[in-house]
Amino acid sequence: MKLSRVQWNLLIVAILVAGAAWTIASRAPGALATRERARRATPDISLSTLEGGTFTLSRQLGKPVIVNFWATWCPPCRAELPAFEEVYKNHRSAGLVIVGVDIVEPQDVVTKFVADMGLTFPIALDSDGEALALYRVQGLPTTLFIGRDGTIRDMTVGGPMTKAAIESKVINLMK
Amino acid sequence: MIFPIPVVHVGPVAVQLPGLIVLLGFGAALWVAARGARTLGLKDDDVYNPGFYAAVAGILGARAWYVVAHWTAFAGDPLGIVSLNLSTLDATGGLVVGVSVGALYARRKKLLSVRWLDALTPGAALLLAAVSLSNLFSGEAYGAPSTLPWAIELWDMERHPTQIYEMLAMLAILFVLLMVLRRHPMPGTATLLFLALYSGQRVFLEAFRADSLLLPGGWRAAQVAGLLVLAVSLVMLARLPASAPKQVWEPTVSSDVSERGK
Repeated sequence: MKLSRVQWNLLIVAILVAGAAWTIASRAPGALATRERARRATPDISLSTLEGGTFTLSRQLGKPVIVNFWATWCPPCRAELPAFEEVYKNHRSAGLVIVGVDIVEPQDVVTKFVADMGLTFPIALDSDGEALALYRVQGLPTTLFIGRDGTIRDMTVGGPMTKAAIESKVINLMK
Repeated sequence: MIFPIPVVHVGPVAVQLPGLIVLLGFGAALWVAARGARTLGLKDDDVYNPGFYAAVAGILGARAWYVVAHWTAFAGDPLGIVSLNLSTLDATGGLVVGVSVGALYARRKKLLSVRWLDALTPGAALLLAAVSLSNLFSGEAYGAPSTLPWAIELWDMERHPTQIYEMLAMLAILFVLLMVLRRHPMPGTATLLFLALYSGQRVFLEAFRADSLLLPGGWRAAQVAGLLVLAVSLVMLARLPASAPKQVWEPTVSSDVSERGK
């Protein structure tokens, strides 16, 4: 069906008026962005550490945090741990927190491995897989980069991450 | 809460499924665009060649953009520039570099024309449908809370499946474009129609999103921008003749100097 110029113009006006009316009607309530951001806050975890203490994520609020899920039997996990150690040494004094969460392994196995690797950042033990399930880890290694406000800024699945890659994420966390 | 993004292991590299969907969608988009190009009297290579260079440049550009933005991190570990870490790719940088290289290649090969842009539009619609599907698996572009029977559970509540709405809208636009291109309309018609339909669906569906970028007063930025694009594209469409003379769709002779004399 061919339309005349007048009909075309009327159709265009009708479409634009309808679009404008819909845009006005669908303006968002002011609290929308704040509410939705709150849903994406990081779940809290509390795990025993190799040092005999407890690591609780919520107590780190205000600090940039890296949570690295790993296991001694995972080759890319083993390959990237020295890079995390180097980054930890570089930024520890600036308040960076790194915790390696070992997944469902005997404590003595993890203790020997950490000593052999010379790691100094805290190692938490997820002995029953609670953190694995809570954080819905899909594969190892998985690394969460959590901002000072407690929200996850970035998540990397797989590895090994290079020192440069980790440092680049830390730059964003430190802001 | 944490969103469980599905992961696919490709050899030593773990690829998140959303990224893989976009990659496959790009390949499918090139194929669809190449078929559209044939309909308009162009050659398959007029789509595949700039597409290939755009893809390679896009990946390199995404890495380069990220490295430049975080130069202090890579200065201490230059080998990290060439690592397989997919998390150190900048999507915006990749898009800018990829599109620029594709356009430069097309210009150099004298492909850049309104008819060539028309050929790309079905592929663009399919790629955007793939992006919507990838958003479903990444939890992005999520919808407002809903009690409708087809609501999906996402981020701790039942919501409009806006990613599926958008995917279906883009597939419908793809179908419309393929039908229109078969009728050999005036060059530019498909491009303007794509812009009008895309912006129109964006104005409509943005209302169902919970993650809209908001302007002061609660105005959704995508709707405001969409209305402007819709207005301009509709006005320009109205001024195009309904159909092109037959000779407009005759196959082009390659203008590549190196091919002469073969």
